[in-house]
Amino acid sequence: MKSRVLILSVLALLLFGGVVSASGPREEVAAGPAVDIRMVLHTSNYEVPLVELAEQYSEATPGVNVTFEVIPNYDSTWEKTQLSAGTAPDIFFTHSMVEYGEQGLVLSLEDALNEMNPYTGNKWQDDFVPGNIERYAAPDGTPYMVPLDMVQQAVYYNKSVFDEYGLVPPETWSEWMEIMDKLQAEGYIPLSINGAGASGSTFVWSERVMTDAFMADKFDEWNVKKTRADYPGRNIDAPDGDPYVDILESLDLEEMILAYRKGELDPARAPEYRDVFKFLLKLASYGGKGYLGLDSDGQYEQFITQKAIMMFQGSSMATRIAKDMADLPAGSKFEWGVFPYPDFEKSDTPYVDTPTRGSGGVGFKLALAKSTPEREAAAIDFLRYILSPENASIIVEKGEPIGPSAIKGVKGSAVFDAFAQVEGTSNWFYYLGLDSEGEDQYRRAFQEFLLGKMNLDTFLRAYSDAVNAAQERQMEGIDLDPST
Amino acid sequence: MAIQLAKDRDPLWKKIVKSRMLYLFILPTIALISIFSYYPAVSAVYRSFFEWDGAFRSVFRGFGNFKEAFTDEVLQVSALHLLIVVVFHLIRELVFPMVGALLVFHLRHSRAAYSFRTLLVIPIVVPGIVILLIWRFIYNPSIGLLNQLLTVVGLEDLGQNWLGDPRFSLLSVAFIGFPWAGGFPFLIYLAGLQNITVDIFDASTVDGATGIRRFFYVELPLVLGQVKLLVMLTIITVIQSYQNYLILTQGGPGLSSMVPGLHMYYVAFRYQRFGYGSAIGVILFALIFVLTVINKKYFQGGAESA
Repeated sequence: MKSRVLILSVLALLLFGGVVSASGPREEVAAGPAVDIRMVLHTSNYEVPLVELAEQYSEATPGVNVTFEVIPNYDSTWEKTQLSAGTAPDIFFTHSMVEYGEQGLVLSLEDALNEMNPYTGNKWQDDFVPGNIERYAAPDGTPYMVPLDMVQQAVYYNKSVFDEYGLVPPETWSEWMEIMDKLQAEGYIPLSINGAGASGSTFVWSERVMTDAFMADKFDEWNVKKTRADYPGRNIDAPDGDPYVDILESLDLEEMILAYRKGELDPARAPEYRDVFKFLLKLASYGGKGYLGLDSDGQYEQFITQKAIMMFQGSSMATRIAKDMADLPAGSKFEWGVFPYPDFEKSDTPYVDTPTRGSGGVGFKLALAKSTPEREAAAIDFLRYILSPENASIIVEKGEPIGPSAIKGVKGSAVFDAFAQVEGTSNWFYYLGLDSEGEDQYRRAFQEFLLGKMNLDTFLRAYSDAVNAAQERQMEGIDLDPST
Repeated sequence: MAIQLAKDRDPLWKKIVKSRMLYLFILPTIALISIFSYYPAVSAVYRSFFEWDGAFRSVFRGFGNFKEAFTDEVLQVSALHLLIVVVFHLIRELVFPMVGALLVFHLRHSRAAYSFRTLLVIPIVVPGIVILLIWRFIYNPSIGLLNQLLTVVGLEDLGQNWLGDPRFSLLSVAFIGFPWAGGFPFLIYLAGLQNITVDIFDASTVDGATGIRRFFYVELPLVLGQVKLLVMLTIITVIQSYQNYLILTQGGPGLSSMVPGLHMYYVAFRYQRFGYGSAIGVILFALIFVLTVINKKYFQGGAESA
């Protein structure tokens, strides 16, 4: 009897010890000299929960002190100078993680993602909504970031006005144009367009959606390398049937250059582009006066004041609308919703291959700067801590999310529920390897085209020249031989 | 035969040693100016001969950046825009503040003069970004004040897409600050007018020079020093500035509001080509230098009452 009690007590102690060690920050990280970890984001969306989590983690982890700060609107110049000086934050958001990773400035997370996350008991990679890490990895598959959240684009619409005129969300491009015509005839701006925007503009995302739908038949041919062996094709459905993320291959720069030189991804020679830009010009005709001078704030303003009835924007606007709608006087409130980008039919263009897919992806991509092994280990552990489902839920609840969480099982804000209608995520080859300089050249030519100062042929030639020049500038290290 | 003081015969080093305390006092200022003003400028000239991404890659290009600048179509277009903007700014900085200063100067009631002077100077303390944001709202094609005002007075057809139409974008940004009567130019002119002695005004009145004649024959010649100063300052400021275009139009639509300073900014901070951006900066510096020398040499003021 006594021995049985003793055995049960020992088992209970072992079980209790295991539970305690899994629930809080790991103390093994703290062994060794004290480390200060700095996490930085460029917006304050998640400032409140991240400051709180940083404090909790620091209190619970002796020898590790984590601080979180917001540095507004930092850009690539700031990143480069900080990284080259060795003063970069340990954890920061960047779009250029592959470039920095290949230069040895940020940490490869391959090993860390294959290890167990002590806060969940799973392989760390399995904690994330699938596909998000792979699609932003380097061409050789090395991951240099983990995602904090996801974003998606959809067409926001004023449901109150739609109901007033007996309109329903369109499923096809033709239906959408009919709705636009009806609203225009009633004196509304059918679609608010942020023509002054750069990467976040109505036109850029529309081009992405359209080229994805019109060129699907050629993608597998362009994708000669198929570097992500686990994801052999673009039409693989995501595991769990999650329509929000579509696992797919991507074209790297070399593949894009090869496809461009074949003429199939050359705006001046590929016939699909003529239809893409005819459609964009048509879309522009519904943008109302002055859309070229409108940025995203101005676009939002037109929508929330009901001067414009629709806008094609990202999921971050949903949080903003929900917040502002609560503050609007009763007479100014309206019901709103979202619908996916309408599909094209063969009667619209002979090139359409598939239904249109979403144009979203990961929102905040978190990279880790290379530093000392102790700091790297502490930074990884902190990330595992905050990106565990329990703490990721706190980030969603207390922050101002821009989309659903990238962590599996975390229930996002209800404002994003409607975005589940948007199926899949379109490919990225639309950017054709344009660098910043090329983007500016393209954008200027496109604005001249929209203003009628350049015809379609001249514009497509200018676009092609910008792509060619940008690709030439990035030829270093590219031998155009896919086998090497 | 000039009397040479004993101290003038001392060698330079001795003079410095004798005045060492003075030099010690000025040393921190010189050090700070050297680090934060001269070093960046000299560094920019040095970097203008390199293809430099600002952090990792630096390749010597000789005069390659300068050659590129002279064939850069964007820079050529923006240079033309600069000429237009400089002329516009010269008119607005030379004429309207002068009108404001003359009106305030000739007010008989000193309290009224003080009040109007204060009203015309207060806008200086408003942060520039606030002014830009207000004007962005004024220019909003849908709900902006300007188009709304035109609608109210029955001129709705004159309402434009002020910042988004290539015909208007450049001068719409240059127009910011209307009616341009206050600010530092106003203060400079007012100071110049206040330096004119009463005797001169009395004499001009006796000679029959009043009103417009007084302005052209008495006041303007005596504030030519201020005019010259403002010409120089306006040219320097306009050539260097780009922030208004950066915030309001980003140089667009197309290239319709691109200016050299903005192109330099984009080349450096957006395209990460700091070497070429430095070369553009050196060219702008050379331009300012030449214009300043011309202004100083050929536009001698009247009585230097600045």
